Amino acid sequence: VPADQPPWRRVFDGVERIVGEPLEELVASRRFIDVALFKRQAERAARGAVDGAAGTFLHFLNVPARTDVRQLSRQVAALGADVRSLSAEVGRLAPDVGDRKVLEPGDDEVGDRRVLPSGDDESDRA
Amino acid sequence: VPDLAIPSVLDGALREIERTGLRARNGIKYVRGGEWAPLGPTPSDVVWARGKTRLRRYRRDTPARMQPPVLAFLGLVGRAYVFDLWKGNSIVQLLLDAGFDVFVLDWGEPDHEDAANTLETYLQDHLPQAIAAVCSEAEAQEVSVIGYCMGGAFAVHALAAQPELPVRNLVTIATPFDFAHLGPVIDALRDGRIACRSMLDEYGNVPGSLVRQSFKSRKPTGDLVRYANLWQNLWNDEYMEGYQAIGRWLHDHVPVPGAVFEQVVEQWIRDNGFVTDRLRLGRRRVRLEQIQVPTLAVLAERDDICPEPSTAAIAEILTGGSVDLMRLDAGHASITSGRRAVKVTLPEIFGWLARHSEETA
Repeated sequence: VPADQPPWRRVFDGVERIVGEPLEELVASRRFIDVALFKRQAERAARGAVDGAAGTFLHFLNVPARTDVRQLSRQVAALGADVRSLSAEVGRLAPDVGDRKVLEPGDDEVGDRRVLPSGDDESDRA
Repeated sequence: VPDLAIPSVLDGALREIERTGLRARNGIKYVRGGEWAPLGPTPSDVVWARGKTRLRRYRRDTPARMQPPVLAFLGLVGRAYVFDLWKGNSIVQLLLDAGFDVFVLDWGEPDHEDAANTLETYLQDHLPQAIAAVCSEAEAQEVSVIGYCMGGAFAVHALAAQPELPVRNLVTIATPFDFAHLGPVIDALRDGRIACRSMLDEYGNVPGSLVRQSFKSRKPTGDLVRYANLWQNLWNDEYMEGYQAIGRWLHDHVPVPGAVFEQVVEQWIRDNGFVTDRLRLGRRRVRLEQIQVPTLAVLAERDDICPEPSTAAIAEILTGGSVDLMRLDAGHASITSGRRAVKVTLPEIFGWLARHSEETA
């Protein structure tokens, strides 16, 4: 404990070490981790049981449960990931596709070719 | 002696009275959610994006005089603002002052859409594109990479798989490579007592709150100590800036995509892949010896999150190029934040970077 600390702080730091050190050893122990894991698993199991019961009841009323929404959300996310991956693949195979201008109605460009005024044909120029 | 003692006692009493007034003022401001350290003090622009990943370029008043530009990033558990914590303690600002063009890669906050993101998503897709964007923006051929904590492991894994990436220098700060020394939670993940699936939330990500809890549980009295520090220094506005910025950083963790988490547990933790050279990326085995980039590994001697045996292992891992180890008297966070970091630690790191860069102007 640094000597230039105020007295209250020196007392606090002393007590904190007396209490803190054994606590740090405890939380670093294998047994503490096992107990914490057991608690987490028990919580998940309890939540699963409640979700299951609530889901059965909601399904009985023909209403989607939280688990259905979650499942749907995961499926949409997986679909989104597939689309992104396909889009990246297309980008790799045809890098110039992304650079092309998206045409709007009234634009005078079609793809890479400019639409020439009527009567003016490129073949005439050649 | 009594002649001297009376004024000093008086001085002490007056100082305490003054500090009590300042404590009251700052205490009210703190309770009302006042800001001492606004987020992102250094102006920047997003210059590239993919998915939730963003690349920020920090504005300079003058053209950069050091080449190559610097790209910095964390791993997936923290926020990129750690590189720009508060005015007067900003890694970004110090790098700008040192003459570099500075970019920070922010991996973003994953949600249910990103649960299936893999290491390949970040290391083979986002990172190479971000490096290309840096080169394009800065009109440079190469970049220097700074990876902080898990960001350093990301950089090494990516470079081992893609040695052709245009990286001139690599700096890893407090990055674990030997996962046999990272404490009981990592041990439990390694020996299978914690199943990866049990850590995922309903959307398939490891929630940020769980990441925060696992860090917090290492110091059960940590919050009490923080409050004692707060009371002791509440009068001091300069201290409050750091207290608020560092507190925000330490309590602000983002979810980790479940697929990445499973790969990290499998490859980095169970296989201890950096030490055993058994890393894979994109279904291919990668070779750490292929990394020939000059590397600086910064180790914090008082780091209780990534202790020295786990960070120093890089010297034996990267056999293809030169590795300099820089041991600094600091902890995991204080290596980049605080007065000593600004005055001693960071200048030493940036000095190495400058020696491995070129002055252009």
